[in-house]
Amino acid sequence: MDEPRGFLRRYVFSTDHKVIGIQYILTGLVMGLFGAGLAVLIRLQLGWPEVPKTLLGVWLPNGMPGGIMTPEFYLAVVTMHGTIMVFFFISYVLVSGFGNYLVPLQIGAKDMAFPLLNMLSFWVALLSAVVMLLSFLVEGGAAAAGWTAYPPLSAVASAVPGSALGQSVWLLSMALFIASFTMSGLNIVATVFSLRAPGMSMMRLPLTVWSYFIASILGVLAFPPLTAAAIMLLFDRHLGTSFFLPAGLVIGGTVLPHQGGSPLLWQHLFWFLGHPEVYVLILPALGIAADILPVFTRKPPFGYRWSVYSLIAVGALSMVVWGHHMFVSGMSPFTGEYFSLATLTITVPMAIYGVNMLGSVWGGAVRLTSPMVWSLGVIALFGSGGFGGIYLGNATADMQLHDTYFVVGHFHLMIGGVTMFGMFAGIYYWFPKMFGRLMHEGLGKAHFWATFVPFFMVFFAQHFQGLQGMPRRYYAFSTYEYLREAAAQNGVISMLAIAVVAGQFIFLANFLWSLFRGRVAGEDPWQATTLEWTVPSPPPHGNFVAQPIVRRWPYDYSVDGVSHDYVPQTATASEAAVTS
Amino acid sequence: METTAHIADRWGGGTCPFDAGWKKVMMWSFIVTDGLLFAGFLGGYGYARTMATVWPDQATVFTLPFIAAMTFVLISSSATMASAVWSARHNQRAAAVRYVWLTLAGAVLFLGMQAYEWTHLINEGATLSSNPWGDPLFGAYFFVTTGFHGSHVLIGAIVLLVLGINLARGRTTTENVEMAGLYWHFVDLVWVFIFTCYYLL
Amino acid sequence: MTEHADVGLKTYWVTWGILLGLTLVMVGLDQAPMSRQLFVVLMLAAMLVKATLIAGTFMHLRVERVAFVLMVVVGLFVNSLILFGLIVPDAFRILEMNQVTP
Repeated sequence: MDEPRGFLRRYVFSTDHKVIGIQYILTGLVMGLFGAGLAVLIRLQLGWPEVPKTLLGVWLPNGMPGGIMTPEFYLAVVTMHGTIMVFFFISYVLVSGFGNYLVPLQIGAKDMAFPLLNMLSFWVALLSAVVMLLSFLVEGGAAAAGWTAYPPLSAVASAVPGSALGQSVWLLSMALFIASFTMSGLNIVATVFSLRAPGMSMMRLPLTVWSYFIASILGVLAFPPLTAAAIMLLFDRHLGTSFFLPAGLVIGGTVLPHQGGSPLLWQHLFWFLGHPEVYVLILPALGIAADILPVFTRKPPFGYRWSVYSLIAVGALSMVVWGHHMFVSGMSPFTGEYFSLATLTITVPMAIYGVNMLGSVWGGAVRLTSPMVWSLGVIALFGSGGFGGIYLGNATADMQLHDTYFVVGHFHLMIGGVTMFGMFAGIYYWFPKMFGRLMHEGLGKAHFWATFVPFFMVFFAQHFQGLQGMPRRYYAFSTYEYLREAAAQNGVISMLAIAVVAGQFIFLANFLWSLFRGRVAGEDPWQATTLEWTVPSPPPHGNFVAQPIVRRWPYDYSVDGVSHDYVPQTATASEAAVTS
Repeated sequence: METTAHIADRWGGGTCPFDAGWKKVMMWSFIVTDGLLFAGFLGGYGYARTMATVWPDQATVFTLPFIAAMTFVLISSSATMASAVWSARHNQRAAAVRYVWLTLAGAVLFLGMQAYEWTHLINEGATLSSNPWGDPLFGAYFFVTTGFHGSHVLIGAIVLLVLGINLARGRTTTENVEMAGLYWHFVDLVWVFIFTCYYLL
Repeated sequence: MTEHADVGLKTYWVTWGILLGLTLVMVGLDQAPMSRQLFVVLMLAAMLVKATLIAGTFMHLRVERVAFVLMVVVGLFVNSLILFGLIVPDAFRILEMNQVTP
């Protein structure tokens, strides 16, 4: 492969999947900082609604005049926090970032199937992120209709300030995001099908690759109807159509001229993507965690085959359960019953996968490194967060729980918890491969505990607030007598949440320090079997000097009679021979 | 019938299991995504029509023979495109170029006919938010969906133009002709659905 | 590029003829007197036949690997059916609710 020359071609406008992967990761981490800042604003408002935050009032005079947040600004903050965290933090770092970096390496390919398209996908992604941030600066401020952008709130400019220009900029950013994600997803799908090295059959793929493969298929299949819906929403907003707007809407005393549309249609089209999207986010985290466990227990994962089947089953099922977000929307209760049954069915493959992860740890020679503790955290959060899903999947239970903090607690444990912990596990594990140096172990574990303890407490507590009836997206609860007890916990929860954010600075410090001062890693610091550990750290352009021949699955750890406690995937039979 | 051993061979790495090459896999995957986009519009349309108590009668609004002629043009252009791919595969470059130009002519003609139809409807008072025949969503769905399809035809025409030029100069591969062909047939495929659902049903 | 079985030139033009014939039939039936349900069923059936012909013959799916065809059919067709199938009941419900006189 031609070696690119010059700083710009090598590190900026590069078609190398490794550079693009790192670009995605860095962009995502920066966006994550914005998302975290918005989270702090949310918690400041909920924890101490009557206390003026004077400094913030100076910086944000429109949103927080005199240091007190306006309800409209709170809605915008909640909307942007969700949007940025889901699409620009987790999706960029975990799905596009690690996906681009790992997939070609782990299947034995030189690069993705279409490297130029890959580069294009990153620059469109970056543009999308910039546009989303710019939406804060337009008149009326950022979109305020929730990350779910339900009409009529999102369709009528006068409904809330964020629905003026901010919502349109949001839609533009999302269109760019979807284009970028589709390009990236198509690349991963085509690459996994077509570019696996000789001997790398599907059942010899690491669980990580399986998870990215299925996640990419899901994304590619689920996003398009939302694109159609977004186009229709833009038409409703600017060109007078009524795709989602019924007759008789009154805003500020004026009857709107629309007629014939249905807000329910938006909900269907949105959640048709929205539900698979959360599996697009969580599957890679589960794949990464499942792959890290064998390395630090020195034994194969429990039930690899069934884990693969579970991933496939979850992927397929996730496409047909979106209605569980709509149980109280006025959707037909018969369809609701179906969605409820289907949703509860997803529990089965997810439980199998979770049990397999536990089984992977059981009886192993556990080495508690940073990647390992973060992976164990994934299992803990997956189990506890998953239980909440069983309650919510029940249409009848959801009558009470929908739009309460029970939902907020559930999805934060899953998306904030499982995905973010999987992401950090991946960062600590593959940092040495990416940058040639190991991250600091002590700081890594400190980061874990500083995150895990307050994080779990915050979102576990929110389940109880939800059970007590506390609604989400409310900017204050002082007027509701029945919520006094639930709301009283907000102060403590806010302090813990801010502690979570503060804990991330340990990671930032570790990341930066390790880039320059971390212990030099070598080719295979973790003594792992997958293909990326057979090349230098960082790998050269083109990854492999010669095309690898794969001779075994990725989990030959502690094989009876072999002298080492692991056998790389490319090792021949004689290399893995019994030595006396 | 393939043996299990053969199937295992194809999926065992080192080759594409579909004997298709990554470009074809990617083009078909793209077609699936773009098809689902139209499915989004069609789904919304089906939803809106089912919900509506009254809906304009297409036979009165549209001149069906004209629309049938548009369909004829597009189907014929699909046949010429398939012939172009066949010619390219059998190393008959001159014939392939001729067929590509014929396809392009079909594309341009279709666009012209679509533009004419739109003008006719707009002159009769059809807009995105109202029309003289009833439910305002009729116009909205019609213009958005056919507009989206038309933009795909336009992009296809540009692709065909570039392809034709490159093919005439010997500067492109048979595979590229085939990929362009897949895209063009996809455009025709979408029209089959739009034709049935928006004009006939 | 891997060589695979070909679809003949003649087949393309025969398919063209069938497609045109079907189109004429569809337009003709539009005027014919019949129940709404029968009309919808016939139109959808004709539509699917045309789609299969285009995808199978022009787009070569009939000579591609079965797994590949399944990938496309499930990804595009089955997925769309799932979308339509689960959202249209709500449209019927809204129609019913609108038709109930208070």
